[in-house]
Amino acid sequence: MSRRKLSRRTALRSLAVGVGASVALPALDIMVNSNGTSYADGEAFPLRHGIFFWGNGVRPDRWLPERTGARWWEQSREGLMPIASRPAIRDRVNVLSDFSYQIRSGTAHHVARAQIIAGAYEAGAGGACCGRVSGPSADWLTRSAWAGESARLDALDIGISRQNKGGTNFSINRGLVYDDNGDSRPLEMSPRAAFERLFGDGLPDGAGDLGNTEAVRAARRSVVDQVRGDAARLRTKLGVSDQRRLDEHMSLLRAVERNIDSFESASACTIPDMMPGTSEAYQQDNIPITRDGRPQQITGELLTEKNEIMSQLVALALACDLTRVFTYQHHGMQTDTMFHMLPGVSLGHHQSTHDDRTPNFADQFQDFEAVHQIATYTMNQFAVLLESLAGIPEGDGDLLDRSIIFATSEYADASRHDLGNMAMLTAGLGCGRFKGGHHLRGGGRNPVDVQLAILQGVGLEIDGFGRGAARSTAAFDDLYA
Amino acid sequence: MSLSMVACDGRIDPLAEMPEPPIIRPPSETPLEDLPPFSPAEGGLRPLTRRQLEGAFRSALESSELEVAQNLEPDPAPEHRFRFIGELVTASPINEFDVLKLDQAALTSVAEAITEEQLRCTPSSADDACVDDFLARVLESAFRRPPSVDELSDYREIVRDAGEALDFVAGLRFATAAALQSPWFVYLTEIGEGPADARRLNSHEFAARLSFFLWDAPPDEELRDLANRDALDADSIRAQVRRMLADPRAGESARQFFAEWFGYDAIETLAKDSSVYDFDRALGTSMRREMEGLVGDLLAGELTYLDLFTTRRTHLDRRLADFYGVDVSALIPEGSTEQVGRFEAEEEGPGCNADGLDPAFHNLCSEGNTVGSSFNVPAATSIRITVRAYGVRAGDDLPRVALVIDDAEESQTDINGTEASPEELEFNVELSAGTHDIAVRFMNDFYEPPANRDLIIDWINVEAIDGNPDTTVLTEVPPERSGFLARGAFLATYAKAIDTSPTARGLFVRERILCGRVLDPPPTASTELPPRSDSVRTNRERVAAHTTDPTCNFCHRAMDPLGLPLENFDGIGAYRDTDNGATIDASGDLDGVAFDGATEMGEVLRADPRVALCAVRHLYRHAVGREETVDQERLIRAVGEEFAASEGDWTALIEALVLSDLFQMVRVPEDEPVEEEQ
Repeated sequence: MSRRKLSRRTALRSLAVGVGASVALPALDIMVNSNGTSYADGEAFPLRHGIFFWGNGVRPDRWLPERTGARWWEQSREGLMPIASRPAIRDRVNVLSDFSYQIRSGTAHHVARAQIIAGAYEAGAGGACCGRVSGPSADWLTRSAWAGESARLDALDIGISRQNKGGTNFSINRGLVYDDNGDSRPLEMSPRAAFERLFGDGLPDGAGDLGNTEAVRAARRSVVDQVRGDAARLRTKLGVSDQRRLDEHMSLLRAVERNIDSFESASACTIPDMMPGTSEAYQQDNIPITRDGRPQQITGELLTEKNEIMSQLVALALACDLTRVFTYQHHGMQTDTMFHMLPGVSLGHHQSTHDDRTPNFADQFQDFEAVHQIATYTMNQFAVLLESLAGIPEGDGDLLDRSIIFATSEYADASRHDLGNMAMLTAGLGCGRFKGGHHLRGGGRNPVDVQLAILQGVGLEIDGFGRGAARSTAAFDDLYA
Repeated sequence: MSLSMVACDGRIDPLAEMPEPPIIRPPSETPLEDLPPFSPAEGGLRPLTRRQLEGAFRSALESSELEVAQNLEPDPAPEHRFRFIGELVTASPINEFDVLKLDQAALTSVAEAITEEQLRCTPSSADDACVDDFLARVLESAFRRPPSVDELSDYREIVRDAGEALDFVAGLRFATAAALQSPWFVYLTEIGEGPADARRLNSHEFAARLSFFLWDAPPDEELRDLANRDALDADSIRAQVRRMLADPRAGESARQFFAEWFGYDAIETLAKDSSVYDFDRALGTSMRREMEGLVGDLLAGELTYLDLFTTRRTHLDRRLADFYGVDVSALIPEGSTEQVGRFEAEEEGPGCNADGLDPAFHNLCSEGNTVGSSFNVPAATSIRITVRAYGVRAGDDLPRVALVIDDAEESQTDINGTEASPEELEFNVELSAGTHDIAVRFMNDFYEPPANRDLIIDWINVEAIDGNPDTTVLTEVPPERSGFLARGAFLATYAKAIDTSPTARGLFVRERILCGRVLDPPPTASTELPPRSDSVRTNRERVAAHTTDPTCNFCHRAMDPLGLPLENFDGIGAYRDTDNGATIDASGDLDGVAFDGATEMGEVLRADPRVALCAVRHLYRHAVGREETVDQERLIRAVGEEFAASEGDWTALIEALVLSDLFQMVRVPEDEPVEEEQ
């Protein structure tokens, strides 16, 4: 396969759109060996692992390609056309179909999400949404296995839409990444904050004209020390479970310290010149809040623009080896994101699939055309992310060659909470370990088998993934090249 | 916890573990003599909510203007639970973002609030007396107790180190930033004194619990002073409760409590199908305002809690009055308009600049281009915004414009106007007093040379509507709307987008008013109501046809007879006599007591002793941040009796609750011995 090789100028120019004049520099040629297959010192290019998630599924009859096998894009339906129409990425994307859970229906959105993301089940208090699940998500395993190998973060967790489910306060930003305890970890939904985490000096804009001097950093460290000191005094007065809670809180102060120290940390890459104020989407990071402190229906999210910026940030973070694992939630499970940019879509996404203000699935309006439009738009957003990766050359290939990304939603058809025939894609060749360009059928097997195949494929020595009914112990090895 | 799920067709949910009856009997049905002796709820750490954190920031920094909550992570709130119950708030632990954002908020807010002018002196060394004065003041407010000598000394060292390296104002800022992240600040620490199973809150802990309960803010100087002198006895507590309830902060806190308890907190954003119902954000606001008026009456003693079920009292604005069919023309004068401001777009200049960010020029060429200006609205009021615009057409669609207020898109519309005959678009919105950015945005660019769609804006005119439709008056609703269950906020919230929902309404009454509990429908059950037909015309008939199965009926009989009496009110709460052409049968029953229609249901609920007791439970959960267990049942009933004896007086309930050991005591879990301080 001959791949068009982008010149560095081209790569930089494509990245500069909306970002700024100077960008992080990916592995320089001088750093690469003569064959372009590894870094000059012989160290192989890193393998990256990604998760892309979107809520509320697709319209399966307008999304799945008609036949299976290679070159799926020649038979693509409208819902996947955003990928099928892009030659630069489509031959590295697989479409997966005919994977179903044993129990095919009757599960709420958040439970369905826990199954596909963590192969696990929801174990939250009283079955309440978004509590603890019974095990870690797939990305948690890779970020733990590869901890410390990348320069800045063990993983970058991105969210695009901030919308929750309408009328409630489901915390969708607490529901894609699950740690070893099954507690959900937050996603970064602010482009500005994501940028700061990757390239910033950790000092908020409103902190006055302190300057990021050693004296200021020392003072900030003394603040953290004092908080720890107060905690130590308080701890002696507490019961065991509160002590644990306090210890957990104090351990998180490491994030603040990393923030303070980060300006000093060396990076192989030039810091992009993306100053606050470059675009409206970059600024759009405040959560609209109702008077009682809940996030409200958000009507003006600049999803297209934000997705472009975040896609570029992910690509830069991978290119500079600031992280090797990323998660990317376009919009959360069950969210009522308003896709105002789509003509004819007037309701929140979840409301378009079914209105669950009552438990009745019938007798409620459903707007399947809107659901289809949204799914197609979301695939375009995913394609933009993949193009960002494909646009950065690395040795004899590009970032997409060195990545394996699993993309899915909590259901294929959310209107009936159907857990059959899940909607799943993979993207990237994972350093040649995975196939690309195929429509593969699972013959009714467990959807989590795909996650296990990826985890084993990237080198984790595990026998299975997940807990409970959805646990997988049989990797879907058709995925391997 | 996992509950047994028996499907309507009798299958067992494979995820189920243990059986449990569909309606969990509340402990109120246990005879008093069978209840265990009183034991208080667990104490320990209770994280402040975002609102409480904001109140605490403002208090510690003596700045009522600070806005901190916007920059913190939202409170997690499981559905159907109270966000403000601390125990549930911490179902998800504090995470990395909380900690990072708190650090940033602390650094930002000290920079904003601590300036040389606001300091009462300018320190020249860390040993300056004013450093100690300042630290003592900040730490006492932040920790809700006087700081210890050791703590003062620690914080003075921060001032010393940073002060010598930078300057002493910066030193005080960093010391304060530490206090604002200290666990003593972030958590309510309710540890108490005495034996592990019955520890009494000390006076500082009690004052903090009381203040965050009534105000969502820490104790003020008067309450702190009483706590410092250990002078909080029953009489002074009563006096403080009355003083604090008269403060506007108590009203705000109570409004939020009721909005969440009664579930109308999302009334403005309900999804209603516009082809069926004429419902918009403004009507939702009117409905909220009516409920807030009634909550205010409750706090002021104009209404009792039991009155809420039968009263005809209301606070109507013109919009809701029209909706209810109440004539308020004599009470609210007709509106006149007053000019707020006008923005004229400039025609000269590049207009279509690449970024689309220049707000001055009138031709918007790219998607997302926005034009507008800031307007100063003198008082909270209804605003009429008129925009003159026209489009240059290209492609299949008309140019589409969105009204953008303070960076949020309010509504969108297509532009029919052309250069020859521009269009004047009118938008009506409500705005608070202050400066607002009002703008319009081009939503759907189209460009395939030579076809090019543009949007041209000539001007934006902003007027205030005086004597406006948002002024509310105290009046009465028609008899059929007696009680809050027959008002819009409740009825619209508990309904579907295209229909009513007798089951959802009945479930609310069963769970939130009577404190019964009904299981979720089994996951494998079909919960589809049969479609309307010639033989199954009304919702009553559909529900009946749906629940013929005894398994389904077992739960539905606890809900539907409490929702069907409200069928005279449609999915947004408008009155109706018929459903699908058939006369509505509004009969219902409450556990064997039959009644007909909303008004009679209100009378029956008012007379049911479970109603007052259920209010005690909700207020208790809110006040102490825990759900009650059977260990607290004896005292909950005792408070309930006092509440009932007062015939539902809300202030009497608050007093009885805060004077009770329910509120004043905590315990340490038995398996968690307290280590004594070294």
